[in-house]
Amino acid sequence: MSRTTIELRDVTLAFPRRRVTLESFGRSALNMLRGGRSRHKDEFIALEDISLELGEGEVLGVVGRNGAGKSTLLRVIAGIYRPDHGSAKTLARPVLLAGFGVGFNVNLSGRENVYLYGSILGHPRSVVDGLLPGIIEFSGLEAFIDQPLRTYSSGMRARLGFSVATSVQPDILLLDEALGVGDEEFRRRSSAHIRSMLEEAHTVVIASHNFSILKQVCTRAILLERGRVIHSGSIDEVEQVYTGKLPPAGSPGPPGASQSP
Amino acid sequence: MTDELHASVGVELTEPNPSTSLVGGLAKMLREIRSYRYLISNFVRRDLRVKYRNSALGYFWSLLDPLLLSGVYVVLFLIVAGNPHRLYPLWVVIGVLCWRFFGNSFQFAVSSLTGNEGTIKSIYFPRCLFAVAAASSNLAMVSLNLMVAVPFLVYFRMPPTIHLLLVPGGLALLFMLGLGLGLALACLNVLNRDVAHLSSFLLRAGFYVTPVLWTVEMAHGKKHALRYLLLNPVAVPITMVRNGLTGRPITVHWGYIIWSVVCSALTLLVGAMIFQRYEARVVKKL
Repeated sequence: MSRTTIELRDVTLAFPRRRVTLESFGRSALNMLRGGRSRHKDEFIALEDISLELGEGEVLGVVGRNGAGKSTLLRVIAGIYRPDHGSAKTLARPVLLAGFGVGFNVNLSGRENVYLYGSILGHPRSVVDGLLPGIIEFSGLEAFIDQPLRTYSSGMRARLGFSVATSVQPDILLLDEALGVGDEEFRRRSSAHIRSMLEEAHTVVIASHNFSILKQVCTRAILLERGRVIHSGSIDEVEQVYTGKLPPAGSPGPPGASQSP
Repeated sequence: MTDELHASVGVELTEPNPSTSLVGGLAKMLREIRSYRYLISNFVRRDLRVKYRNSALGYFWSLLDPLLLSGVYVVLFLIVAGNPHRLYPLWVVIGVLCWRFFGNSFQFAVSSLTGNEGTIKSIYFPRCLFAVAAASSNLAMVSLNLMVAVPFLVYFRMPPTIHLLLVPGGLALLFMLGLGLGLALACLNVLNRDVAHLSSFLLRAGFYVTPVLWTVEMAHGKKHALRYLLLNPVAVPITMVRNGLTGRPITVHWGYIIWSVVCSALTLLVGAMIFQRYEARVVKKL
Protein backbone atom coordinates (compact mmCIF):
# COMPACT_ATOMS: atom_id res chain seq x y z
CA MET A 1 0.00 0.00 0.00
CA SER A 2 1.04 3.60 -0.49
CA ARG A 3 2.09 5.87 2.37
CA THR A 4 -0.19 5.72 5.39
CA THR A 5 -1.90 9.05 6.00
CA ILE A 6 -4.36 8.19 8.76
CA GLU A 7 -3.72 5.58 11.40
CA LEU A 8 -6.14 4.73 14.22
CA ARG A 9 -5.10 2.13 16.76
CA ASP A 10 -7.62 0.65 19.17
CA VAL A 11 -9.38 3.95 19.54
CA THR A 12 -11.85 3.98 22.40
CA LEU A 13 -13.73 7.06 23.50
CA ALA A 14 -16.43 7.36 26.13
CA PHE A 15 -18.61 10.35 26.84
CA PRO A 16 -19.93 10.94 30.31
CA ARG A 17 -23.65 11.24 30.65
CA ARG A 18 -24.36 14.66 32.04
CA ARG A 19 -25.61 14.84 35.56
CA VAL A 20 -24.09 17.65 37.53
CA THR A 21 -24.33 17.21 41.26
CA LEU A 22 -21.75 17.92 43.89
CA GLU A 23 -21.12 14.22 44.24
CA SER A 24 -20.69 13.65 40.52
CA PHE A 25 -18.51 16.74 40.37
CA GLY A 26 -16.15 15.28 42.90
CA ARG A 27 -16.10 12.00 41.07
CA SER A 28 -15.52 13.51 37.65
CA ALA A 29 -12.80 15.74 39.06
CA LEU A 30 -11.13 12.65 40.47
CA ASN A 31 -11.50 10.88 37.14
CA MET A 32 -9.97 13.83 35.38
CA LEU A 33 -6.96 13.61 37.69
CA ARG A 34 -6.63 9.87 37.39
CA GLY A 35 -6.86 10.12 33.65
CA GLY A 36 -8.75 6.90 33.21
CA ARG A 37 -12.31 6.56 32.15
CA SER A 38 -14.84 6.50 34.90
CA ARG A 39 -15.77 3.01 35.85
CA HIS A 40 -19.34 4.00 36.37
CA LYS A 41 -22.39 3.14 34.42
CA ASP A 42 -22.99 6.81 33.70
CA GLU A 43 -20.93 6.94 30.58
CA PHE A 44 -21.64 6.30 26.99
CA ILE A 45 -19.14 4.46 24.82
CA ALA A 46 -19.02 6.46 21.61
CA LEU A 47 -16.18 4.56 19.94
CA GLU A 48 -14.79 1.19 20.89
CA ASP A 49 -11.60 -0.46 19.70
CA ILE A 50 -11.49 1.12 16.29
CA SER A 51 -8.41 0.43 14.25
CA LEU A 52 -8.04 1.83 10.81
CA GLU A 53 -5.28 2.52 8.37
CA LEU A 54 -5.77 4.69 5.32
CA GLY A 55 -3.26 5.46 2.63
CA GLU A 56 -2.94 7.94 -0.18
CA GLY A 57 -5.65 7.70 -2.78
CA GLU A 58 -8.20 6.13 -0.46
CA VAL A 59 -11.70 7.45 0.11
CA LEU A 60 -13.35 5.89 3.11
CA GLY A 61 -17.11 5.98 3.55
CA VAL A 62 -18.38 5.86 7.14
CA VAL A 63 -21.91 4.56 7.37
CA GLY A 64 -24.15 4.10 10.35
CA ARG A 65 -27.36 5.19 11.98
CA ASN A 66 -27.70 8.43 13.91
CA GLY A 67 -25.62 8.21 17.06
CA ALA A 68 -23.50 5.33 15.81
CA GLY A 69 -20.34 7.42 16.24
CA LYS A 70 -19.68 8.75 12.74
CA SER A 71 -19.16 12.38 13.67
CA THR A 72 -17.20 11.41 16.75
CA LEU A 73 -14.88 9.31 14.62
CA LEU A 74 -14.24 12.25 12.31
CA ARG A 75 -13.58 14.49 15.30
CA VAL A 76 -11.07 12.04 16.70
CA ILE A 77 -9.22 12.02 13.39
CA ALA A 78 -9.35 15.81 13.30
CA GLY A 79 -7.82 16.01 16.78
CA ILE A 80 -10.88 17.50 18.42
CA TYR A 81 -11.25 14.58 20.80
CA ARG A 82 -8.25 12.72 22.11
CA PRO A 83 -9.04 9.00 22.45
CA ASP A 84 -9.28 7.60 25.97
CA HIS A 85 -7.34 4.57 24.81
CA GLY A 86 -5.38 3.95 21.65
CA SER A 87 -4.03 6.58 19.31
CA ALA A 88 -5.12 8.55 16.28
CA LYS A 89 -2.35 9.80 14.05
CA THR A 90 -2.30 11.63 10.76
CA LEU A 91 0.41 12.57 8.31
CA ALA A 92 -0.82 16.13 7.70
CA ARG A 93 -3.27 18.35 9.48
CA PRO A 94 -6.71 17.07 8.45
CA VAL A 95 -9.45 19.49 7.45
CA LEU A 96 -12.88 18.70 8.83
CA LEU A 97 -15.70 20.21 6.82
CA ALA A 98 -18.60 20.57 9.21
CA GLY A 99 -20.22 23.62 10.73
CA PHE A 100 -18.98 26.35 8.42
CA GLY A 101 -18.23 29.77 9.81
CA VAL A 102 -16.70 28.84 13.14
CA GLY A 103 -15.66 31.89 15.08
CA PHE A 104 -17.57 34.30 12.88
CA ASN A 105 -18.26 37.55 14.63
CA VAL A 106 -21.46 39.32 13.66
CA ASN A 107 -20.06 42.77 14.35
CA LEU A 108 -17.18 42.42 11.93
CA SER A 109 -17.50 42.84 8.20
CA GLY A 110 -17.56 39.89 5.84
CA ARG A 111 -14.01 40.68 4.78
CA GLU A 112 -12.71 40.86 8.38
CA ASN A 113 -14.45 37.57 9.11
CA VAL A 114 -12.72 35.95 6.15
CA TYR A 115 -9.35 36.85 7.69
CA LEU A 116 -10.45 35.76 11.15
CA TYR A 117 -11.92 32.44 10.03
CA GLY A 118 -8.95 31.93 7.72
CA SER A 119 -6.57 32.30 10.63
CA ILE A 120 -8.62 29.85 12.70
CA LEU A 121 -8.27 27.40 9.83
CA GLY A 122 -4.54 27.96 9.94
CA HIS A 123 -3.96 30.33 7.02
CA PRO A 124 -1.76 33.34 7.70
CA ARG A 125 -2.71 36.77 6.44
CA SER A 126 -0.50 36.54 3.36
CA VAL A 127 -2.26 33.34 2.29
CA VAL A 128 -5.73 34.80 2.87
CA ASP A 129 -4.72 37.89 0.87
CA GLY A 130 -4.23 35.65 -2.12
CA LEU A 131 -7.36 33.62 -1.50
CA LEU A 132 -9.67 36.56 -0.88
CA PRO A 133 -10.75 37.33 -4.47
CA GLY A 134 -11.58 33.67 -5.07
CA ILE A 135 -13.48 33.43 -1.79
CA ILE A 136 -15.54 36.52 -2.49
CA GLU A 137 -16.28 35.38 -6.00
CA PHE A 138 -17.28 31.87 -5.00
CA SER A 139 -19.54 33.10 -2.21
CA GLY A 140 -21.20 35.53 -4.59
CA LEU A 141 -21.21 38.20 -1.88
CA GLU A 142 -19.20 40.96 -3.64
CA ALA A 143 -21.84 43.56 -2.84
CA PHE A 144 -21.97 42.74 0.88
CA ILE A 145 -18.39 41.88 1.75
CA ASP A 146 -17.75 45.13 3.64
CA GLN A 147 -21.06 45.05 5.48
CA PRO A 148 -21.12 43.71 9.03
CA LEU A 149 -22.03 40.07 9.24
CA ARG A 150 -25.14 40.75 11.29
CA THR A 151 -26.76 42.15 8.15
CA TYR A 152 -26.26 38.79 6.41
CA SER A 153 -28.96 36.17 6.20
CA SER A 154 -28.11 32.76 7.62
CA GLY A 155 -27.77 31.42 4.08
CA MET A 156 -25.30 34.16 3.20
CA ARG A 157 -23.26 33.41 6.32
CA ALA A 158 -23.17 29.73 5.44
CA ARG A 159 -22.05 30.59 1.91
CA LEU A 160 -19.23 32.77 3.19
CA GLY A 161 -18.20 30.13 5.72
CA PHE A 162 -18.23 27.41 3.12
CA SER A 163 -16.21 29.50 0.69
CA VAL A 164 -13.49 30.17 3.26
CA ALA A 165 -13.42 26.61 4.60
CA THR A 166 -13.05 25.13 1.14
CA SER A 167 -10.68 27.74 -0.29
CA VAL A 168 -7.60 25.65 0.38
CA GLN A 169 -7.23 22.13 -0.91
CA PRO A 170 -6.36 19.87 2.05
CA ASP A 171 -4.32 16.69 1.82
CA ILE A 172 -6.60 14.94 4.28
CA LEU A 173 -10.25 15.83 3.96
CA LEU A 174 -12.88 14.82 6.49
CA LEU A 175 -16.45 15.39 5.40
CA ASP A 176 -19.47 15.21 7.64
CA GLU A 177 -22.89 14.77 6.05
CA ALA A 178 -24.48 17.86 4.67
CA LEU A 179 -22.65 18.88 1.54
CA GLY A 180 -25.07 21.53 0.44
CA VAL A 181 -25.51 24.97 1.94
CA GLY A 182 -27.31 28.06 0.77
CA ASP A 183 -29.82 28.26 -2.04
CA GLU A 184 -30.26 25.84 -4.92
CA GLU A 185 -27.73 27.49 -7.18
CA PHE A 186 -25.08 27.67 -4.47
CA ARG A 187 -25.83 24.10 -3.40
CA ARG A 188 -25.09 22.90 -6.87
CA ARG A 189 -21.84 24.83 -7.10
CA SER A 190 -20.76 23.79 -3.61
CA SER A 191 -21.41 20.12 -4.32
CA ALA A 192 -19.36 20.39 -7.49
CA HIS A 193 -16.59 22.12 -5.57
CA ILE A 194 -16.56 19.43 -2.88
CA ARG A 195 -16.46 16.82 -5.60
CA SER A 196 -13.34 18.38 -7.08
CA MET A 197 -11.77 18.63 -3.59
CA LEU A 198 -12.48 14.94 -3.12
CA GLU A 199 -10.59 14.19 -6.27
CA GLU A 200 -7.62 16.35 -5.33
CA ALA A 201 -7.27 15.23 -1.72
CA HIS A 202 -4.85 12.46 -0.90
CA THR A 203 -7.11 10.82 1.62
CA VAL A 204 -10.79 11.37 2.33
CA VAL A 205 -13.14 10.17 5.04
CA ILE A 206 -16.84 10.80 4.41
CA ALA A 207 -19.62 10.21 6.89
CA SER A 208 -22.94 10.14 5.14
CA HIS A 209 -26.26 8.40 4.65
CA ASN A 210 -26.31 9.14 0.98
CA PHE A 211 -25.28 5.91 -0.73
CA SER A 212 -25.57 7.31 -4.23
CA ILE A 213 -22.79 9.79 -3.45
CA LEU A 214 -20.79 7.31 -1.41
CA LYS A 215 -20.89 4.75 -4.21
CA GLN A 216 -19.48 7.25 -6.66
CA VAL A 217 -16.47 8.24 -4.59
CA CYS A 218 -15.60 5.63 -1.95
CA THR A 219 -12.85 3.08 -2.38
CA ARG A 220 -13.68 1.47 0.98
CA ALA A 221 -16.33 1.72 3.63
CA ILE A 222 -16.99 0.84 7.25
CA LEU A 223 -20.28 0.36 9.03
CA LEU A 224 -20.50 1.68 12.58
CA GLU A 225 -22.97 0.47 15.13
CA ARG A 226 -22.89 1.70 18.72
CA GLY A 227 -19.33 2.83 18.30
CA ARG A 228 -17.97 -0.40 16.86
CA VAL A 229 -16.97 -1.25 13.34
CA ILE A 230 -19.33 -4.09 12.54
CA HIS A 231 -18.39 -4.39 8.93
CA SER A 232 -15.55 -3.24 6.75
CA GLY A 233 -15.32 -3.73 3.02
CA SER A 234 -16.51 -2.27 -0.25
CA ILE A 235 -19.26 0.32 -0.20
CA ASP A 236 -21.66 -2.05 -1.96
CA GLU A 237 -21.09 -4.70 0.66
CA VAL A 238 -21.52 -2.20 3.47
CA GLU A 239 -24.74 -0.97 1.96
CA GLN A 240 -26.12 -4.48 1.87
CA VAL A 241 -25.18 -5.06 5.50
CA TYR A 242 -26.62 -1.71 6.44
CA THR A 243 -29.93 -2.46 4.78
CA GLY A 244 -30.00 -5.94 6.30
CA LYS A 245 -29.50 -7.91 3.10
CA LEU A 246 -26.22 -9.36 4.30
CA PRO A 247 -25.04 -10.28 7.81
CA PRO A 248 -21.99 -8.38 9.06
CA ALA A 249 -18.64 -10.07 8.59
CA GLY A 250 -17.63 -12.40 11.37
CA SER A 251 -21.11 -12.99 12.70
CA PRO A 252 -23.44 -15.68 11.55
CA GLY A 253 -26.68 -13.98 12.52
CA PRO A 254 -28.36 -10.70 11.57
CA PRO A 255 -26.77 -7.40 12.76
CA GLY A 256 -28.59 -7.49 16.07
CA ALA A 257 -27.06 -10.80 17.00
CA SER A 258 -23.52 -9.45 16.74
CA GLN A 259 -23.96 -7.70 20.07
CA SER A 260 -24.04 -10.88 22.12
CA PRO A 261 -20.60 -12.17 23.11
CA MET B 1 1.69 30.32 12.76
CA THR B 2 2.03 27.79 10.03
CA ASP B 3 5.65 26.93 10.76
CA GLU B 4 4.56 23.99 12.82
CA LEU B 5 1.78 22.90 10.49
CA HIS B 6 3.89 22.92 7.38
CA ALA B 7 6.82 21.27 9.05
CA SER B 8 4.58 18.39 10.09
CA VAL B 9 3.24 17.72 6.61
CA GLY B 10 4.61 14.59 5.05
CA VAL B 11 7.23 13.92 7.68
CA GLU B 12 5.68 11.33 9.91
CA LEU B 13 2.39 10.35 11.46
CA THR B 14 1.65 12.58 14.40
CA GLU B 15 -1.10 13.09 16.92
CA PRO B 16 -2.64 16.53 16.56
CA ASN B 17 -2.87 17.06 20.31
CA PRO B 18 -0.51 14.64 22.04
CA SER B 19 -0.83 14.33 25.78
CA THR B 20 1.84 15.97 27.89
CA SER B 21 3.35 15.10 31.18
CA LEU B 22 2.24 17.37 33.97
CA VAL B 23 5.65 19.01 33.98
CA GLY B 24 5.71 19.80 30.27
CA GLY B 25 2.58 21.95 30.36
CA LEU B 26 4.12 25.39 30.31
CA ALA B 27 6.70 24.48 27.69
CA LYS B 28 3.95 23.09 25.46
CA MET B 29 1.89 26.23 25.94
CA LEU B 30 4.80 28.50 25.04
CA ARG B 31 5.51 26.42 21.93
CA GLU B 32 1.87 26.67 20.90
CA ILE B 33 1.78 30.42 21.51
CA ARG B 34 4.87 30.77 19.35
CA SER B 35 3.59 28.80 16.41
CA TYR B 36 0.08 30.27 16.57
CA ARG B 37 1.03 33.88 17.30
CA TYR B 38 -0.68 34.95 14.12
CA LEU B 39 -4.00 33.55 15.34
CA ILE B 40 -3.56 35.24 18.72
CA SER B 41 -2.92 38.60 17.11
CA ASN B 42 -6.03 38.13 14.97
CA PHE B 43 -8.13 37.35 18.05
CA VAL B 44 -6.77 40.45 19.78
CA ARG B 45 -7.52 42.58 16.75
CA ARG B 46 -11.05 41.19 16.66
CA ASP B 47 -11.63 41.94 20.34
CA LEU B 48 -10.42 45.53 20.03
CA ARG B 49 -12.42 46.15 16.88
CA VAL B 50 -15.60 44.66 18.23
CA LYS B 51 -15.35 46.51 21.52
CA TYR B 52 -15.56 49.98 20.05
CA ARG B 53 -17.60 49.20 16.98
CA ASN B 54 -20.70 51.25 16.30
CA SER B 55 -19.93 53.94 18.80
CA ALA B 56 -19.44 57.56 17.79
CA LEU B 57 -16.61 58.06 20.29
CA GLY B 58 -14.88 54.78 19.49
CA TYR B 59 -11.44 54.43 21.04
CA PHE B 60 -11.98 57.66 22.96
CA TRP B 61 -14.16 55.58 25.26
CA SER B 62 -11.09 53.78 26.49
CA LEU B 63 -10.06 57.10 28.09
CA LEU B 64 -13.48 58.47 28.88
CA ASP B 65 -14.64 55.40 30.72
CA PRO B 66 -11.86 55.41 33.34
CA LEU B 67 -12.19 59.18 33.73
CA LEU B 68 -15.88 58.94 34.52
CA LEU B 69 -15.18 56.04 36.81
CA SER B 70 -12.60 57.98 38.80
CA GLY B 71 -15.15 60.77 39.17
CA VAL B 72 -17.56 58.37 40.81
CA TYR B 73 -14.96 57.04 43.24
CA VAL B 74 -13.71 60.48 44.16
CA VAL B 75 -17.24 61.58 45.05
CA LEU B 76 -17.62 58.40 47.04
CA PHE B 77 -14.34 59.03 48.84
CA LEU B 78 -15.28 62.64 49.59
CA ILE B 79 -18.48 61.41 51.20
CA VAL B 80 -16.84 58.66 53.23
CA ALA B 81 -13.44 60.08 54.19
CA GLY B 82 -13.29 63.62 52.89
CA ASN B 83 -10.31 65.59 51.61
CA PRO B 84 -8.42 63.11 49.43
CA HIS B 85 -4.85 63.57 48.19
CA ARG B 86 -4.76 65.54 44.93
CA LEU B 87 -3.52 62.46 43.06
CA TYR B 88 -6.10 60.18 44.65
CA PRO B 89 -8.39 60.19 41.58
CA LEU B 90 -5.49 59.04 39.44
CA TRP B 91 -4.49 56.32 41.89
CA VAL B 92 -8.02 55.02 41.95
CA VAL B 93 -8.32 54.97 38.17
CA ILE B 94 -5.07 53.09 37.83
CA GLY B 95 -6.10 50.69 40.57
CA VAL B 96 -9.48 50.02 39.02
CA LEU B 97 -8.00 49.56 35.53
CA CYS B 98 -5.37 47.14 36.80
CA TRP B 99 -7.91 45.18 38.79
CA ARG B 100 -10.21 45.03 35.79
CA PHE B 101 -7.35 43.78 33.65
CA PHE B 102 -6.54 41.05 36.14
CA GLY B 103 -10.20 40.14 36.68
CA ASN B 104 -11.12 40.01 33.00
CA SER B 105 -8.08 37.93 32.09
CA PHE B 106 -8.95 35.59 34.93
CA GLN B 107 -12.65 35.25 34.11
CA PHE B 108 -12.15 34.87 30.37
CA ALA B 109 -9.65 32.11 31.07
CA VAL B 110 -11.98 30.33 33.50
CA SER B 111 -14.71 30.15 30.87
CA SER B 112 -12.38 29.80 27.88
CA LEU B 113 -13.47 26.20 27.28
CA THR B 114 -17.16 26.51 28.14
CA GLY B 115 -17.52 29.75 26.19
CA ASN B 116 -15.99 28.43 22.97
CA GLU B 117 -17.80 25.13 22.74
CA GLY B 118 -18.84 25.67 19.11
CA THR B 119 -15.33 26.37 17.91
CA ILE B 120 -13.77 23.63 20.01
CA LYS B 121 -16.13 21.03 18.60
CA SER B 122 -15.60 22.04 14.98
CA ILE B 123 -11.89 22.49 14.62
CA TYR B 124 -8.73 21.74 16.51
CA PHE B 125 -6.17 24.29 17.52
CA PRO B 126 -4.48 24.50 20.92
CA ARG B 127 -7.22 25.42 23.39
CA CYS B 128 -4.98 27.48 25.62
CA LEU B 129 -4.99 30.09 22.86
CA PHE B 130 -8.50 31.23 23.80
CA ALA B 131 -7.35 32.28 27.25
CA VAL B 132 -4.00 33.61 26.06
CA ALA B 133 -5.70 35.72 23.39
CA ALA B 134 -8.26 37.06 25.85
CA ALA B 135 -5.56 38.04 28.33
CA SER B 136 -3.58 39.65 25.50
CA SER B 137 -6.63 41.64 24.39
CA ASN B 138 -7.11 42.82 27.93
CA LEU B 139 -3.45 43.77 28.12
CA ALA B 140 -3.83 45.84 24.96
CA MET B 141 -6.95 47.51 26.35
CA VAL B 142 -5.47 48.32 29.73
CA SER B 143 -2.41 49.79 28.03
CA LEU B 144 -4.71 52.08 26.05
CA ASN B 145 -6.75 52.89 29.12
CA LEU B 146 -3.70 53.82 31.16
CA MET B 147 -3.06 56.69 28.74
CA VAL B 148 -5.67 58.44 30.84
CA ALA B 149 -2.80 59.22 33.22
CA VAL B 150 -1.25 61.58 30.66
CA PRO B 151 -3.69 64.49 31.12
CA PHE B 152 -3.33 64.18 34.91
CA LEU B 153 0.46 64.22 34.72
CA VAL B 154 0.43 67.18 32.38
CA TYR B 155 -1.99 69.06 34.60
CA PHE B 156 0.07 68.44 37.73
CA ARG B 157 3.31 69.04 35.78
CA MET B 158 4.87 65.72 36.68
CA PRO B 159 7.43 64.64 34.09
CA PRO B 160 7.89 60.88 33.73
CA THR B 161 10.70 59.43 35.83
CA ILE B 162 12.79 56.28 35.71
CA HIS B 163 10.08 54.61 37.80
CA LEU B 164 7.96 54.39 34.67
CA LEU B 165 9.81 51.15 34.04
CA LEU B 166 7.79 49.61 36.85
CA VAL B 167 4.63 49.81 34.70
CA PRO B 168 5.37 47.05 32.19
CA GLY B 169 6.67 44.90 35.04
CA GLY B 170 3.45 45.31 36.99
CA LEU B 171 1.31 44.60 33.95
CA ALA B 172 3.32 41.48 33.17
CA LEU B 173 2.76 40.19 36.71
CA LEU B 174 -0.98 40.86 36.47
CA PHE B 175 -1.08 39.07 33.11
CA MET B 176 0.62 36.02 34.56
CA LEU B 177 -1.59 35.96 37.65
CA GLY B 178 -4.89 36.39 35.82
CA LEU B 179 -4.10 33.96 33.05
CA GLY B 180 -2.52 31.38 35.34
CA LEU B 181 -5.35 31.36 37.89
CA GLY B 182 -7.95 31.19 35.12
CA LEU B 183 -6.21 28.35 33.30
CA ALA B 184 -5.98 26.40 36.53
CA LEU B 185 -9.77 26.56 36.94
CA ALA B 186 -10.89 26.30 33.30
CA CYS B 187 -11.00 22.50 33.23
CA LEU B 188 -12.91 22.27 36.50
CA ASN B 189 -15.40 24.78 35.12
CA VAL B 190 -16.24 22.37 32.32
CA LEU B 191 -17.13 19.71 34.85
CA ASN B 192 -19.20 22.09 36.87
CA ARG B 193 -20.14 25.64 35.96
CA ASP B 194 -20.41 26.57 39.62
CA VAL B 195 -16.68 27.21 39.39
CA ALA B 196 -17.26 30.30 37.22
CA HIS B 197 -19.89 31.65 39.61
CA LEU B 198 -17.68 31.07 42.59
CA SER B 199 -14.70 32.71 40.93
CA SER B 200 -16.68 35.81 40.01
CA PHE B 201 -17.73 36.09 43.65
CA LEU B 202 -14.14 35.71 44.85
CA LEU B 203 -13.12 38.39 42.39
CA ARG B 204 -15.65 40.81 43.82
CA ALA B 205 -14.48 40.06 47.35
CA GLY B 206 -10.84 40.41 46.33
CA PHE B 207 -11.55 43.91 45.04
CA TYR B 208 -11.77 45.21 48.61
CA VAL B 209 -8.78 43.48 50.18
CA THR B 210 -6.57 44.51 47.28
CA PRO B 211 -5.27 48.08 47.10
CA VAL B 212 -7.66 49.21 44.39
CA LEU B 213 -9.67 51.97 46.05
CA TRP B 214 -6.91 52.56 48.54
CA THR B 215 -3.15 52.60 48.20
CA VAL B 216 -0.42 50.82 50.11
CA GLU B 217 0.84 54.23 51.25
CA MET B 218 -2.58 55.08 52.70
CA ALA B 219 -2.44 51.90 54.77
CA HIS B 220 1.00 52.56 56.23
CA GLY B 221 -0.59 53.52 59.53
CA LYS B 222 -1.97 50.01 59.85
CA LYS B 223 1.29 48.08 59.69
CA HIS B 224 -0.14 44.90 61.12
CA ALA B 225 -2.98 44.57 58.61
CA LEU B 226 -0.74 45.60 55.76
CA ARG B 227 1.62 42.75 56.53
CA TYR B 228 -1.13 40.33 55.59
CA LEU B 229 -2.70 42.38 52.82
CA LEU B 230 0.59 42.46 50.96
CA LEU B 231 0.70 38.69 50.85
CA ASN B 232 -1.96 39.07 48.18
CA PRO B 233 0.21 38.80 45.06
CA VAL B 234 -2.01 41.26 43.15
CA ALA B 235 -1.21 44.08 45.60
CA VAL B 236 2.39 44.58 44.51
CA PRO B 237 1.85 44.78 40.72
CA ILE B 238 -0.98 47.31 41.14
CA THR B 239 1.30 49.41 43.32
CA MET B 240 4.07 49.07 40.76
CA VAL B 241 1.87 50.38 37.93
CA ARG B 242 0.45 53.10 40.14
CA ASN B 243 3.74 54.41 41.48
CA GLY B 244 5.47 53.92 38.18
CA LEU B 245 3.00 56.14 36.37
CA THR B 246 2.98 58.82 39.05
CA GLY B 247 6.77 58.76 39.26
CA ARG B 248 7.25 57.51 42.79
CA PRO B 249 9.48 54.69 44.02
CA ILE B 250 7.67 51.80 45.67
CA THR B 251 7.91 51.80 49.39
CA VAL B 252 6.85 48.18 49.74
CA HIS B 253 9.46 45.97 51.38
CA TRP B 254 11.48 44.18 48.72
CA GLY B 255 10.56 40.82 50.22
CA TYR B 256 6.96 41.36 49.14
CA ILE B 257 8.05 42.19 45.62
CA ILE B 258 9.99 38.96 45.33
CA TRP B 259 7.05 37.12 46.86
CA SER B 260 4.71 38.56 44.24
CA VAL B 261 7.05 37.77 41.36
CA VAL B 262 7.49 34.19 42.56
CA CYS B 263 3.72 33.81 43.05
CA SER B 264 2.99 35.10 39.55
CA ALA B 265 5.51 32.82 37.90
CA LEU B 266 4.30 29.82 39.90
CA THR B 267 0.66 30.62 39.14
CA LEU B 268 1.29 30.68 35.43
CA LEU B 269 3.40 27.54 35.61
CA VAL B 270 0.85 25.58 37.61
CA GLY B 271 -2.11 26.97 35.63
CA ALA B 272 -0.52 25.93 32.34
CA MET B 273 0.39 22.53 33.76
CA ILE B 274 -3.15 21.81 34.91
CA PHE B 275 -4.78 23.14 31.77
CA GLN B 276 -2.51 21.36 29.30
CA ARG B 277 -2.75 18.12 31.18
CA TYR B 278 -6.51 17.95 31.54
CA GLU B 279 -7.94 20.04 28.70
CA ALA B 280 -8.37 17.13 26.28
CA ARG B 281 -10.05 14.99 28.91
CA VAL B 282 -12.72 17.52 29.78
CA VAL B 283 -13.44 18.72 26.25
CA LYS B 284 -15.53 15.57 25.81
CA LYS B 285 -17.82 16.85 28.50
CA LEU B 286 -18.67 20.07 26.72
